[in-house]
Amino acid sequence: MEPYEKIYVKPSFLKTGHGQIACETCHNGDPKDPNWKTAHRGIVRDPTFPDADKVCGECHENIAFTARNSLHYTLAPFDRVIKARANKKAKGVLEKVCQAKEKHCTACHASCGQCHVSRPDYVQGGFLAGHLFEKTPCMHTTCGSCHNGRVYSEFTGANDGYPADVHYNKEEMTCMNCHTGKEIHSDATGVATRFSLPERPRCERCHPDVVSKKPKTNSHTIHRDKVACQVCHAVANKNCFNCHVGTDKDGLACSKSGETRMVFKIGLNPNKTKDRPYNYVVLRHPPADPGLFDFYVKDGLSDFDKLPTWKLDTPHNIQRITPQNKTCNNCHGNASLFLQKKDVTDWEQKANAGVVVPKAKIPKPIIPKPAIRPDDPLKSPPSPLY
Amino acid sequence: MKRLLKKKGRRVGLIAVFAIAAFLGPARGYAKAEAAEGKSECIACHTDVKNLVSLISEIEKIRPELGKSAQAPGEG
Repeated sequence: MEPYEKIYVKPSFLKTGHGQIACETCHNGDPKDPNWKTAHRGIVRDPTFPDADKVCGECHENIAFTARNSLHYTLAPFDRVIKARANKKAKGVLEKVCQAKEKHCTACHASCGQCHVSRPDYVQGGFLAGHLFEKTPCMHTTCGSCHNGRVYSEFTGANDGYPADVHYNKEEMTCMNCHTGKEIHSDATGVATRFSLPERPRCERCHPDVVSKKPKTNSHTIHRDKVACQVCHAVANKNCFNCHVGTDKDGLACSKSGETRMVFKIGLNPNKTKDRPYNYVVLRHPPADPGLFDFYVKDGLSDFDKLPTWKLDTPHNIQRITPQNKTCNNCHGNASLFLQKKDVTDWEQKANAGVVVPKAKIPKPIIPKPAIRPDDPLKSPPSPLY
Repeated sequence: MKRLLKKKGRRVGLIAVFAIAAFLGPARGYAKAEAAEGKSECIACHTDVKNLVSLISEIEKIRPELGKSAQAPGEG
């Protein structure tokens, strides 16, 4: 994107409803000052953050009211996870961890404007379409800007050798077909993770047969409440390790991530709920590491192993047929698909005790029943006449 | 007499209509002209590509905080 494009306002914007509002109403500044340097004094680049109510709430009261507490807006689970892992015993450490979190993690939030008017701050902004308001933003520009590392590249098939999600590839669906405005704008106060948000996408909304009393396929009847949909229908996802953050010589936030691996690992469901009663779920290793904030404070995340480092995940590369669901024994008895002790580093053993699959819980291979020949009098089933 | 009064009334009415039109006409024209001429410096500048291109190097000089570190190879 050319730098001028980031701030170019299309004349057609002035004919829209939002274009009727004077610039300074939302952005401050002095519209009568011809000197751009002084005219921009006190300018508010994104008037929709941190208070969505202030400008958007004037007309979109209901949406702004809940959106200001949404996951995209607050990133509240980040706070909960980092605080759970932070060193709370040593004096002053938690404060430094929180400062580092603010600089590196919380900066990823998305405001109303960063989805509907410009690209997110994470990619240095820039109008989506000359300040026109996009009711449903383009997923490639908006969602892809922040989620390109993992789910977006999985969904669009950007990882070499791994197919795009069938919903994208065959059905031409976008992120917003599943992640509706209702979900994105929903109030997430008290919600532990995105997986417990009541408005989250659910496969059964479009595939009700799978959870019906008599599913059309046997495999759905057998596995319905035992395994998460992704266990059978997702393929390898991107797992990252050893991410460290810091500040470069110019004072800018920087990061250095370690190894990235495409793997598929099934683990035990660490938190069975009515909505997610499964025994098995797909796991992903996120990039965070105990030394994540070492640049700012040593031993800042001393309780890192309080939470699993292989986490529940819903990979966005769904296929009808996958390597593990082609036959029963592609999964049953195939220990390499399951997260085992040997896959987890020493310091992570305790953290992942609840998700590592012990040998006894790896499903046993299915032994096919011998075919019954109708001419075999000993093995043939009794005639219905008797 | 009644006819005369009616005629006078019509005349007064017409004069009033013309007077209002004469007052509002230029005022509306002025408002339109203001929008067309881009009285807001924000609009005048931000809708002018040529102007933005020439200003951009100056803008970048005073907004370094928006930069991103070159040492950020991480994946989001």
